[in-house]
Amino acid sequence: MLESELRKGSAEVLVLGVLQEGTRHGYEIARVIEDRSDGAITFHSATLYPTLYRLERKGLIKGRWVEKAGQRRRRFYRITPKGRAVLGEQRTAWSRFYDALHRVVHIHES
Amino acid sequence: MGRNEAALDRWRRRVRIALPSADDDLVEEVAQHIAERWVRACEAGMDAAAADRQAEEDLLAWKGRHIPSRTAPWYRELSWSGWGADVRFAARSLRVRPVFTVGAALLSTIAITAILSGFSVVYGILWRPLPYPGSQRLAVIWQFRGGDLTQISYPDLTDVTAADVFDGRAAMSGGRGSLRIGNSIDRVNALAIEADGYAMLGARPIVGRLLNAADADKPVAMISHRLWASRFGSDPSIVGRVLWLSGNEYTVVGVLQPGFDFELPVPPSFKLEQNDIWTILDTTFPLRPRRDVSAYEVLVRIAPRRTIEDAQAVADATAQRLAAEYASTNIGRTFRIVPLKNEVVGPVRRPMLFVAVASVLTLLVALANLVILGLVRGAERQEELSIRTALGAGATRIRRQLFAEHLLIALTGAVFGVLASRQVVELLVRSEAAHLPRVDAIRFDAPVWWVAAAVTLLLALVMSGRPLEHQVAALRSGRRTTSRVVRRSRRLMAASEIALALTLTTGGALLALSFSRLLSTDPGFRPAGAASARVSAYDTRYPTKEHVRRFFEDVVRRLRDMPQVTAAGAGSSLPLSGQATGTSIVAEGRPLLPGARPTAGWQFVTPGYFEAAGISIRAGRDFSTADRERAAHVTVVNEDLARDLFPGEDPIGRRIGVGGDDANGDWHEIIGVVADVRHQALDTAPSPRVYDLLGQHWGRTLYVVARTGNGDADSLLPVLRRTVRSLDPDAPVFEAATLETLVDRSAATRRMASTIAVGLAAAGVLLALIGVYAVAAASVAERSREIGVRAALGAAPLDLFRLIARESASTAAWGTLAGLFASLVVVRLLRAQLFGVDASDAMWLIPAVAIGVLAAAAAAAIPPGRRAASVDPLVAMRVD
Repeated sequence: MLESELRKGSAEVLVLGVLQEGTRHGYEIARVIEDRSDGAITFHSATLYPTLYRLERKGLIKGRWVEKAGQRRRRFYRITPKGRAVLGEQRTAWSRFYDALHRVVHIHES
Repeated sequence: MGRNEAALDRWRRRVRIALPSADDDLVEEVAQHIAERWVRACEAGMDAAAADRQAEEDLLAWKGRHIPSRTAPWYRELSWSGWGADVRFAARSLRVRPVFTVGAALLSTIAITAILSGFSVVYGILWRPLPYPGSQRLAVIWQFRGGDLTQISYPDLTDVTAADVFDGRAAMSGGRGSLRIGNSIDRVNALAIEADGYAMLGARPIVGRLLNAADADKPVAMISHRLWASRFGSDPSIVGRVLWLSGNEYTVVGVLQPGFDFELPVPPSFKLEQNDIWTILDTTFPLRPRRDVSAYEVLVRIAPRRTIEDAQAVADATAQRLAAEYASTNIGRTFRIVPLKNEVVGPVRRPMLFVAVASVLTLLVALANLVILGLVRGAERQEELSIRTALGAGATRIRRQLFAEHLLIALTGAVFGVLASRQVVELLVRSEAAHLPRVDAIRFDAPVWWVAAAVTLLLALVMSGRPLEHQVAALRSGRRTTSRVVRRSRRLMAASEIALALTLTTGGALLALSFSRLLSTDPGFRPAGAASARVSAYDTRYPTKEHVRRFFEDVVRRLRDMPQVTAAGAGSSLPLSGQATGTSIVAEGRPLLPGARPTAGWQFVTPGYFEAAGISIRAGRDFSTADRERAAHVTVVNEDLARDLFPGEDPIGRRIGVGGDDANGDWHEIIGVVADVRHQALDTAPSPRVYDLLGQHWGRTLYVVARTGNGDADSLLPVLRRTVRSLDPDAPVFEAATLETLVDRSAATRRMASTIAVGLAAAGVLLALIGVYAVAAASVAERSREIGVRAALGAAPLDLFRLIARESASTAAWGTLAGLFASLVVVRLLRAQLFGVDASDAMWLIPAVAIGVLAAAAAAAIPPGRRAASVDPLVAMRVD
């Protein structure tokens, strides 16, 4: 239970983090995450798209099909104000979690 | 671009096969994703086969995954998996906080007990449809004259019901009779109805046939299922049997369906329930054609699409016409049409609504407490929940888990609540004192189960709903304190709960004290070891006063001959019987003051009655058989009367006039003085009383009393029956009971009142304690950081304990103060209901109760206070 929640939680915060910088389509999101983490975090489409759908349903991001001249039709996602607020909270919570983790690990080391 | 498009096409086809249930949007996005990745891999130098493998791996990850969709309805997104885990998790986290768990389960139990007891009784009596077809169209017609509702005359009822606003009518007349079956005689209720009535009430024969109009004036009857089962062993050959009923013979033509009955809507003192013999109304009754004899009840059915108001208008018009035509009888006479349901439940509507309001109030108080308790729990768990949120537990998941916890609690409450409310309802229904109509309509069936389910769900939602929103908001904002208003209102609530508890406890304690005083009251006679029964002597067999006297004297003599009987007698009344025959009295040689008419209770007895009933003779002697032969009447009086008429003198040998101003020279000589007996009821003080001798005065139905030396009064009941039977097998023996039972019955109403009051008080105190605990615990949880800072700055645990205790103490003090005032009001309101309790009792009782409640409230604040005292400054301050 915890493991699946952990995966879900981290995927959401990663996606929101990427979209905070600007509008992106699905593959771009995955590529940015992969590049930035030097390949440590890779997203299967099976993880990415359910996450996008879920975030969209919660109103944290908004997706839209865009057709530009000479390019194929693609779906672009952008973060909503509500998404930004949640990302802020998630950042705090995660840093608290890392602090706690760090404290625990630190105590064990000493 | 060409290569890219080809790759996209290829992967589109592949994705469609791999994800057959995905919609076009998803297929397109996933295909683009995989194709682009594939192209990028190839461009980076990967060979096509390896790029294909990589893409296939990606697709493989979808296996067993939920396929999202933007068009699917919302409920498809709900996940039903993990409920088992949620429930296990809930049970575990409830075990960790036993105080919360037990408190919340107790609150739920109280809430559900209150609402189910209230609802099942109120629904059964007020709202459940009567068990007759089209019962909402049934009504009763009363005659109204001079402010009184009375029965109606047969010609009048025929005239009124002739209008087409009625499509059915049945006149009826009920009575009691003695039914002889084999060697036993029962008093039974009999109801004679016009033939249509059986159809209107939905009567069915389960054996034999239904009565019809052709049975009028024939000696035939139907019997109730109850009588058939209890007296005839459900014998199918009952049809054709001849029953002997009060000297008349009836042939049984059928048995009615189980549970069929009709309560004649008459004043409670004449109430006839459980009719066992059913006949067709007699058409030859000599008084039937007389308009001045109002002796019938009438049941009518309002025609479809007509209202009670229509029927009333018709009845009013008829009343006017009749008043003009038959001035001698019908002037000032009108008719009232009352829906049958109102007729049956009218008198208890108000008390029932009171019960409903009380149970809803209890539910609301319990709900409010649950909300506070939920908030406390939420505040305590904030850390756990915020970490879990950070780790990715969705709000839905947390909500679901909290809901599972609260549902477990509510279900526990439901189980105990159902058990408890069944007991409460049983107690209420069984007590004769309540005099509730339709008690057989109080059942735990579908409507009650629905309410139970709804309230259980409501409890779980209330515990989860508000507190959860509060938590989620707090999580989002990182705020950990509650607004002043919330804290104020919470304390206000706890204080009002204390006030309520104090008031209820005062009321309960007063009623309980009053009840114990009542039980220790000297009734003036010794009930232990004695039993009585009423016996009737019929005029067919005992035509004269002499026959009747001899019969009763024989009964008493035979009783005395029984080995276990030490004394026996008979009288026209019995202590605590409530029989209220009175007479005016005058002392010989003492002219009455103008306007003064002293009265006394009056009855006649056989010699030996006083000893049998346990009434001591204070002066003079008992009657003897020789007294009957004396020309002059002799009489025995009680001490009260002797004091009244002959203060400071010896009453023996003095003469009093009974029954008139001058007694017409019929003076009764006082031969004895007996102890004062509570004749009306235990809580009614004795009054002057005169006893005359059977033979000088007489009646046909007497109480026969016997006393035994072995203390086993119950063993006398069959002896009484057998003895009467041995003299006259047809004489009805009824209302047989030990005298101790009579004492108990006399206390029944007060027993019930004090039981209910004590129950309410207990629930009130429990609610208040949980309220105080919850508020203090909420305060500790919310102020943990402040407490931590204080601890870090060197506050001793005792100081921290005091911090919380002070808050609880002021809440409790305000509540107690308000409760004291309310208690004074309760004492005033209850004063009329209290027996043997006066202002001096209230003077010690109220402070005692107040101290008790205050102490209990203080105790309830101890666990949260201790938690405050043991706060670890590091843990409390580390937040954020």
